[in-house]
Amino acid sequence: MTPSPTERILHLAAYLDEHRRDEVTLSEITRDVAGYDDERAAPRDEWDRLVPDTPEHEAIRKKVQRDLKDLREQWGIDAEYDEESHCYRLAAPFLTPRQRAALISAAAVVMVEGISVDEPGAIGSGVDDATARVVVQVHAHVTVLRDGIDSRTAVQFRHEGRDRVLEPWALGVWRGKWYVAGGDPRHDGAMRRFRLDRLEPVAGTSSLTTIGEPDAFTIPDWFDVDKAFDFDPNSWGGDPPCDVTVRVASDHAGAFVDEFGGEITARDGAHATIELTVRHYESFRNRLFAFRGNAVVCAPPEMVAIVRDHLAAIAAGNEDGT
Amino acid sequence: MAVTKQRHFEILRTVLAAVEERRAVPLAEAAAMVGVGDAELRELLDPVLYLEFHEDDGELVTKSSAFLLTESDVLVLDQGHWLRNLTARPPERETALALFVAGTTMQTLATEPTPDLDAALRVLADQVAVVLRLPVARPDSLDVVQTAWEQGRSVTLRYLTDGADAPRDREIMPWRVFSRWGHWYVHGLATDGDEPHYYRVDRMLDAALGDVRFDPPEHDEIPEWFDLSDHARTVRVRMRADALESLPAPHQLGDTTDCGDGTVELDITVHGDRRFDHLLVCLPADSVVLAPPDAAARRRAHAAALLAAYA
Repeated sequence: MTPSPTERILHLAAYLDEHRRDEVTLSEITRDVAGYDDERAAPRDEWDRLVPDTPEHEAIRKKVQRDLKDLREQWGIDAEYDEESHCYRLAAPFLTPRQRAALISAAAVVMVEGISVDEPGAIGSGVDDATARVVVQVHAHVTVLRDGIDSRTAVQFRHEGRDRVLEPWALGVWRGKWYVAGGDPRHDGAMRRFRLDRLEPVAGTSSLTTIGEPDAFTIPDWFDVDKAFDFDPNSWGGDPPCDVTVRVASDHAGAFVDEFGGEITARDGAHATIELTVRHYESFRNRLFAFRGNAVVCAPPEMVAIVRDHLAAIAAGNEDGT
Repeated sequence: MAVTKQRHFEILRTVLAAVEERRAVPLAEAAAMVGVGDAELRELLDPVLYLEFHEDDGELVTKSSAFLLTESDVLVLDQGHWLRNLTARPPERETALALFVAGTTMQTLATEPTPDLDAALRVLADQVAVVLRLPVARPDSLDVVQTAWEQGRSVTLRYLTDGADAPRDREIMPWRVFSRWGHWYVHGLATDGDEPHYYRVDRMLDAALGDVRFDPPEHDEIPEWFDLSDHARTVRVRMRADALESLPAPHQLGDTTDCGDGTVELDITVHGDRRFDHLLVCLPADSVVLAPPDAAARRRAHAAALLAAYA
């Protein structure tokens, strides 16, 4: 029975897989796989090779080419033709089965929202959402910025009322918010970082857009992606480094270290003593207040004064709100 | 059956992908997935399920044991997705990005080496062409609550509610453990409670497996969002513009009016009374609290309470 085109193409894939260590010729394919030369109508020589330059040979060759094109387009399976040996050989897979399995496991655990995947049968498309344990929301601007990074093309957007141009270098997440880091071409490529949810399209556009030519910039060697997406003021603050000692209620010590870093240097029954270096005094003071009386600065006196004086000034404020 | 070759391949790709990724898929579910009837899908799958032929010299080429359809009409993967094994083409860009994000997140969660995932991500990195930093924290109690969830056992813990001074002892039955918005949560029911709640895993102290056994609900969805609108608290303030970046997160800033002297006037919104108190004392001391009417007094009172610790 003559196979359907689908069957024939799948048979061809199976045949190439079976012979992946061999080199197979057009003559062998059309001899062994049903649907090409079932009636043995094409002239063959004494070694069972197709005789070239006959109408039958050309018709069979075109049919195989069409099927190989379908395999490439529908399944991503690529049979390379070697001009010298006149043989077909499967191209190496993009991922090994183990690599693919690892990505499938990741896709099963991590649900990625915000990226529209419209590729039937794509890796990760068949996982059961009910098994997801982590949801990562990808901001809508990520794909445009990703394209800009990939093609080294600047992007334009509006930020806090100003039109900006950025040469995007990397994308990152800090405390659940997406950021882009890149160079400002209007200021000698100085690094800038923007929170994606604060970017808007420039007037007349509906989304972020690229501007200028591709390959317009290179990412500088000094760019440090880890530092670029460390938004902790204690890392980048410009105040003189100040070694601070804080007395923290034991039940809050873990949360305090999560927030600020630092090191627990002593414990008594109810409290822990935590030491850390502060580089942004105002931010430190404000974050400290989240722990209320459960975290109290003990030293140095200058930092105690910063905290105490701020509170005293507010406590002594006026009825009119000042 | 009148589907085009292209549609036929699309159906096969979709169904076989699901079978590989779930290991087993009922035929009826697969049929619904691709919008055809059970009988039609069975017919469409024939070329894959029964792929077998002899070469001219008698050698057998067979892929008939790669995917199986059981007697109870369940599609199962038996010997690997051989068609995907041959795929040389990289995933499309959006797929690659989604996989890269998922894989990178997975790497940060892993407690053991992940050589295959690492290798896959190196391959994908060339395709995605971006550097991503996606930190996901692993709170200390995560392993315990995940074990409790998987085993259908309660977990006993001391829980420090957001803004509370002291933890409370609780025993909860975890229905689902998940991470969203960068935090890990347990959705569960307290053993002495009537309504389920969401608990932040990083606020759990001293978690341990409990003795209460339970069956979680069959479907417990990860929420799209938490409705905190009832807890929104807004203050209108005039303050130094350069102090905005030091305000405690999370907060929402309203439209700013430039007052011309380095100060701006704007609304700032947070959720919950404790966060509101916190926000008020974080405003620069020379800020002017304009509204609501009781906010200035509230601010002074909270500052005085905090100041007591420095007496």
